[in-house]
Amino acid sequence: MAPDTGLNADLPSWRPGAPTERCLHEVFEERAAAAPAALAVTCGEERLSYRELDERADALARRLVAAGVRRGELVGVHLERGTEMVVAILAALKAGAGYLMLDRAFPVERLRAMAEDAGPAVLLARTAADADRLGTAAGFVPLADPGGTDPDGHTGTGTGPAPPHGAARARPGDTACVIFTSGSTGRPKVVAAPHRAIVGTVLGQHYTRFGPETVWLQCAPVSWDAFALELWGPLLSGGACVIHPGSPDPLRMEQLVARHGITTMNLPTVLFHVIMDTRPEVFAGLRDLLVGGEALSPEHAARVVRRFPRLRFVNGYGPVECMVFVTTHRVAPSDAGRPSVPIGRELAGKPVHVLDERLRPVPDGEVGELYASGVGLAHGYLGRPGLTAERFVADPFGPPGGRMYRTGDLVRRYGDGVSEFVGRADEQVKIRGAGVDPAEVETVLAAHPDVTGAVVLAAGDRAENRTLVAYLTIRQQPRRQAGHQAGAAFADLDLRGYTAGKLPDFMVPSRFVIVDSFPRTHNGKLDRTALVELDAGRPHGGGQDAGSGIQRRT
Amino acid sequence: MNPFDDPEASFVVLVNDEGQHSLWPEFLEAPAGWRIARTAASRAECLEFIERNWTDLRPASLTA
Repeated sequence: MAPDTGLNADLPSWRPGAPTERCLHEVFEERAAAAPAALAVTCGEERLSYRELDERADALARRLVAAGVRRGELVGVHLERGTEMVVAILAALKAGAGYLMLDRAFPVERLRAMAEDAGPAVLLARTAADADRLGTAAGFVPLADPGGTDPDGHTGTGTGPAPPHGAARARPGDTACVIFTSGSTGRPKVVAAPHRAIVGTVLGQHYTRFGPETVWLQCAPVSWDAFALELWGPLLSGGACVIHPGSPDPLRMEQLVARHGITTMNLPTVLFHVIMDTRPEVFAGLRDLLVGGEALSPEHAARVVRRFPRLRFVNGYGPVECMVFVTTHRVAPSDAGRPSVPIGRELAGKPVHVLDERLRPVPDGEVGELYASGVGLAHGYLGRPGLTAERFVADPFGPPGGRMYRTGDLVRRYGDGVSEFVGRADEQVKIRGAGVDPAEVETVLAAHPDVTGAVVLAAGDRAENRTLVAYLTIRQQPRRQAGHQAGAAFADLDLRGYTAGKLPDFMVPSRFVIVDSFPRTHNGKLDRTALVELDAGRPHGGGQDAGSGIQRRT
Repeated sequence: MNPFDDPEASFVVLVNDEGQHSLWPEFLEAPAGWRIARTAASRAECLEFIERNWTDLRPASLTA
């Protein structure tokens, strides 16, 4: 029989009072009560203890509730990285809502589309101008202190209804955050994740150490699910979160480790590889290092465990839809001889299945598609019921009425329960650790007035050099045909600027190649191999405009 | 090919007690806790049914 009240069938160990059936802010408030003076979050010179963070978030939550924010709604957080950003996130949850991170590093057009798709009730920003440029109907709530006045003359009142405490308003199944992920139809997908997905990925887990003695580095872009682990890993367990200002920089990371006694880092695999090759001493003081998002190089993995024998080094795997990790593997020196580093075993409360084309478990050692279930599952994709129903499907292996997420990842599981990643079953590629569906970039390019066709492919044989290459057919225009040099004739298209204005930087192709037409196979399908060869056969320097990166191939 | 991606195959739509919908290949038995809300049809028809009928992504127990 399916659960009948207040809770979700996705959680196999689900029962009232289960340790993960909690709201994020409720667990945080317990930590704050237990050790109010402990450091909760720091960035640059800013520091907030658990008590300070809790009190500031309470005050801001009161203003959010006064502004009309209610349970089930979303609060857009459009702030630079820092302690106030964490206050804003916590306040959104305390007000009963979920948070939507509107990363200030993203182009405005992208942010506008995100706000439109997710539909936040209010935006938390520093100034009204910041909020206005996102062009939504959402109300603006300034971050300014209650009673204070911000530069635009907005005054916090601090007189709204008392904030909802603990889980009285929000419930563990309510959406805690939404995370955008690349979508094949050209529209990003908005993953709505409940409180329990994050709580269940931190509490009761043993893939890394959690607790008051841990100091975590927060360096992931705030729009990623890794951000949830870096923030809530410490804040749900009494640890400290050290926010890396700006983009991750190995030298700065080394300084932060020394200054704050950072114990724990969670890095995109590609960044880990780069640091191992350029500045491995970053990891010298760490106790726990987690990596994920790409295939981990066995050579780099072996090197880090040899060099830092006391470091607990873990390779993690998991799609956004299942919150950060569903399997993890603690790397041992003996893994050095393997052709690939395993992605390991399932997390507590997050069962995985390796299935064939008839949804039958495949025998150990054979390749199958990975399906993930359990506490980490998102509700689905906001506003996309059809897409949700084809990816989050009925689970024949869990409790009645439960769902499982089909990851699109092919894995091989061995007799000891340890899995290895084999590849993708669909078109998604990883660029700098982020899953990108080339179709989304193609859709953006195809909307350019001069572009008549766009194909985007990944190039590069390793994670470190993998980039996107855009192949384009363009409208024939007399004024451009007058150009006497092929590349220069197309430089004024400014495809890079156009794309960068609409997509996050990791989705902007590194090269744009103009072709007369797309090669087709005999049955009319796009011939990718011929397309890539067309580009590979290019003469060095010829036909390329260095400034625009646009090349012409015929 | 993944059984959920086959454009030529016949599908049904399943619904659980939380009102959550699942596309489901017709040739497979529905798992426990799920009932058939839309009998065998094309993939596109099933998705269209889901778009029309599953209007709130949240589990029913949360909105009760």
